[in-house]
Amino acid sequence: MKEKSRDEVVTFVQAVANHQGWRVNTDNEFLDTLIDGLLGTFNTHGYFLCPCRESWEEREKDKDVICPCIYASEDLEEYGHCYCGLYISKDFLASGKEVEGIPERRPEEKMP
Amino acid sequence: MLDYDVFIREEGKNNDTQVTLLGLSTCGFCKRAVRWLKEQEVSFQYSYIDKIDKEVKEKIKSEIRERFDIKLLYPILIVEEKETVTGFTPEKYRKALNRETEES
Repeated sequence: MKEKSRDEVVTFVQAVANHQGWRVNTDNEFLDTLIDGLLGTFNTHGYFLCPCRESWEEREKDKDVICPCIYASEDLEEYGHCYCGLYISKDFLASGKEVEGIPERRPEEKMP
Repeated sequence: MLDYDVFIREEGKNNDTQVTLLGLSTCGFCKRAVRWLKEQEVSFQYSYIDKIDKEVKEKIKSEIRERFDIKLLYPILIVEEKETVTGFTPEKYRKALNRETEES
């Protein structure tokens, strides 16, 4: 597996946001943790596991929480940001609010 | 409970309560929770479970599941081995630590 660089992770995150019509969290300290987290999960597991979710260490079992997770669109619509706070909606960005912990949509039986 | 040498100890002047935090090193909310506890000068122990031995991690998770009826969502705050808070918001942490009247 070819490892990713931090710049490649930043490019990936921005591309996802652009494609989905989302924004990337503008809190630099918070964002740095998530970018480093995604870099770590990719270079450990070989895929961009959500940085706020524990891994099964099997792609098939983790596939619903590979970034962007399948729950992100609903979370952005309901809470203005995804579960880990990486992606935020345009309206949430305009509100100036800070991301905070939101309920987990992932069913318990899918958690390690 | 949770008597393992994988915990990092932080000492603060608010040391009347036994506080444990479990998090993921990659998670922004987990880092924020650790920072908040330090800012509040709370004595606590914490561990990033993605950074510890897998066998120990599973033992810790088993203990938590046996003791509490919760989903393992990180960060997990455990207060006095009785109360848990999953996810981080200052409001929930203040309430769990009986610090509602103090500044965040």
